[in-house]
Amino acid sequence: MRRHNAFLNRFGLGLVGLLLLAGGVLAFARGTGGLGRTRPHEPILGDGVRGYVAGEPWFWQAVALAAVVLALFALVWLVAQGRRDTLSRVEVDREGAGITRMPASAVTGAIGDEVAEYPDVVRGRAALLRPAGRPALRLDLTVGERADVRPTIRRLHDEALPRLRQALDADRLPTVVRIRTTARQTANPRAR
Amino acid sequence: MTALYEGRAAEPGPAAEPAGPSTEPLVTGPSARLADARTARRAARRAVRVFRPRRTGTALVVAAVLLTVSALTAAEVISWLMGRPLRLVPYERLGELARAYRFDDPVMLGASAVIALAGLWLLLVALVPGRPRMVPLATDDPDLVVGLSRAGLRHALEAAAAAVPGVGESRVRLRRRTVTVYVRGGSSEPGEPAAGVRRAVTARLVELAPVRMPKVRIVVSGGAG
Repeated sequence: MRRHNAFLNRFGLGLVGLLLLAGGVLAFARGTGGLGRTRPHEPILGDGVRGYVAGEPWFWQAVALAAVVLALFALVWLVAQGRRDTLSRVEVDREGAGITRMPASAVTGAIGDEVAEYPDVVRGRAALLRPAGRPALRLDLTVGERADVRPTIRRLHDEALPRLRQALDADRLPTVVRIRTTARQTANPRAR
Repeated sequence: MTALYEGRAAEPGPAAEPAGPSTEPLVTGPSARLADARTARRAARRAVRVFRPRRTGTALVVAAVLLTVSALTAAEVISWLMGRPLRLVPYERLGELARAYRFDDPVMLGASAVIALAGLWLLLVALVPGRPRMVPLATDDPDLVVGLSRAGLRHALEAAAAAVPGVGESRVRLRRRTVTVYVRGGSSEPGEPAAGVRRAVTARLVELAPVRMPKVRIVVSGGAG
């Protein structure tokens, strides 16, 4: 369910896009005389601008502040791209002062293996997604291209997921299943 | 394992959502189907959203450029304000250029237009939701979102079409709202396979139950082969 970074990316792209669009349109309008009183045939950095900037000591301070704010935002944005959305440890119990954690691979490995035993499933891989307090599950399945995925989904919904919720002691476990197909029918000899 | 966690059963769920129609209990009786339909619609909306692109590639590039430009600007301006200019950027040369070029210079007009268009493009990337990367399949549980890869759907439908007697080869193209099945007939009557292929492909689609059921179009080419 987690839309890792989706909002942040759209916000950042929208912000930069808006700044560029506004700057470009203003400069173009200035050049074509669309801005009224200003003359198009003027240097970009004319005497008027230079005199104004020289007379206002706060100008460069404001530029410095804006640049720092933008740089900090860009840094946070960039770091967020590198952050993985999967958990390596998962809380299974929070009782009193202690929190019991276990490696997420213990959970994800088990469900991956379980699902890989289903007749149509060739490969199953699971990951628990952030945040740690209320994890979500992502399950990548590879099935044979002739397989009917409905029984697999139903079995997952009725058997594997309730069991996993119980193991994690969670009332809800939002789950995203991504299904790919392969020409191989099954990797599981017992299921033939 | 269950006994260990018994004491927590009564606590509210850790992932309780900020209100919404899901919190009301599903009633039995005539209105049950209505509530079911609403849950299914919610599940469908969520499924479509989950698979929308996240713009990671564009975001990565733009964030890197923004960081470079703004950090350099900050470093130059602050160091200059403190009386010890770093001069990482040849800004005196840039200043000369800015004094030399006029707003109505064709170069300047072209550059402004390019910048404005780039801005417009980024704005569109941010605002347009984008096509889901996977085909969402219907589930009646909002907590379970299932997507089938586009190639997966294509292969499944191709396999269904190819299994129809009289069909030699099949290729499927997915568009936003239609599925086009190109069939090269193996049989002598060209009209015959189309109906069978339509039945088979539609049946497979109903089985898979995508959230948005596409229209099926069959194109038969070639006769005996």
